Amino acid sequence: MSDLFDQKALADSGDGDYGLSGDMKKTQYVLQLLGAPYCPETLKCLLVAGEQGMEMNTGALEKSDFDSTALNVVTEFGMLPALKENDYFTSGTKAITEYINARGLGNSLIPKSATLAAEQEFWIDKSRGQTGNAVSALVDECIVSGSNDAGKIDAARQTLAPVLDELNTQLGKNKYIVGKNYSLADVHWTAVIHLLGLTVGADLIDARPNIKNWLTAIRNKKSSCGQALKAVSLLPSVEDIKANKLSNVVIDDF
Amino acid sequence: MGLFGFGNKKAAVAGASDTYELKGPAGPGRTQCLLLAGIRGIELQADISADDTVTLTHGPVTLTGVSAIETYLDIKGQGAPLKPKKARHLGEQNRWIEISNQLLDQHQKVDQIMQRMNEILAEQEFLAGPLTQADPHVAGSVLALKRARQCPPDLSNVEAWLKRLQEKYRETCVSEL
Repeated sequence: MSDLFDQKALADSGDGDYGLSGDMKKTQYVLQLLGAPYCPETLKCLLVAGEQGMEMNTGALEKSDFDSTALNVVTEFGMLPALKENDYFTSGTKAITEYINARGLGNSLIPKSATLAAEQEFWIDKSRGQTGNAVSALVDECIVSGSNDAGKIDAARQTLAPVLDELNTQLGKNKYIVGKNYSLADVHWTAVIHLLGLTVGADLIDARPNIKNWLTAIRNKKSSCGQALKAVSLLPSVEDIKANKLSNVVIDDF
Repeated sequence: MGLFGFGNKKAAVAGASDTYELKGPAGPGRTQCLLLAGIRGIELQADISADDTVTLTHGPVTLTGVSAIETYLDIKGQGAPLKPKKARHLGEQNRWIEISNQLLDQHQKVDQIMQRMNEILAEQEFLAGPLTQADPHVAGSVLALKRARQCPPDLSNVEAWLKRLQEKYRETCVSEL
């Protein structure tokens, strides 16, 4: 029986066989993700799938989906984003990003050192909560609703400025956020900074040279699994957000 | 507050004789860190402070935030870490951690979640199957709810699970949860 994943996130694979072209290319099923293009948490999941070379069909939820029974059936307690791989379901960014990282074809994006792994968690936490809410508010005001409420925009900018200063200082010490290797901390912040760059908050990035240089490096980086895909190319444009459109992750250079 | 001892090309490393010291407000975060430390066989000194968040000091390493501290303690503890290698168990562990952070700690959907936990714990000893980081983490949230009298009654499997975890904790730690 088809569920919300199959209704929303199976557009390109037709009969639901392995691989987006219908052929079994790898040992895993095609992942299915439910989320939204304006949601930084959804974009983090998309980036990890791209980095790890995991094919993924995505489904962008409509507002009417959020309180629907169909969504509650596939996401226990209504947590989003939500992921399905064959008979396995999970939800929430931490669950999805680390699941894809463990299933993926590339090297793990989680540092082995206790200190660096802890530092990664610290920076992941910083990208969520107030930071995530402030970026979501800017995306809503500037793109989704287009209300351009000056008070809300100013409040979001004031929330973001000090944490971006911290990130800028951190990136002055390292190539990536927790050292010389790309990690999940970079994935989380790439999603946040990408969305911020689509709004009137883009000048907050331009004013911080270390973040700007890091973003350039991230945009030029090929995926961690060694395939030609640049994960950052999967991220939505302003037009994609307005059209409520999410990219699928397609790997075609096996 | 940031992390100290980080940011250099080589990460700060604590010595074998360095003690673990935990500071922070009484609440789920402190209990989560204490439980995980106890289960992983780490002795730590714990003080309640008026800070906004929990802080762990271990020699030159200072960490803030529950996620960072749990990750560090899990790797530093005795034997194999609680973080599972199998992707499905890892997904389940992290899903429960998110449920704990986003819903239980915000006092949302408490009855529904705890009823579901009671059903799961009737079938298996721990939330994700094997003992994982999710167990001490969610237990910290549940104990905070119990203190606030926000826990639904008569969940015998949840009670038995809490008892199992507290017994593992008491094998090494003496700090009050």
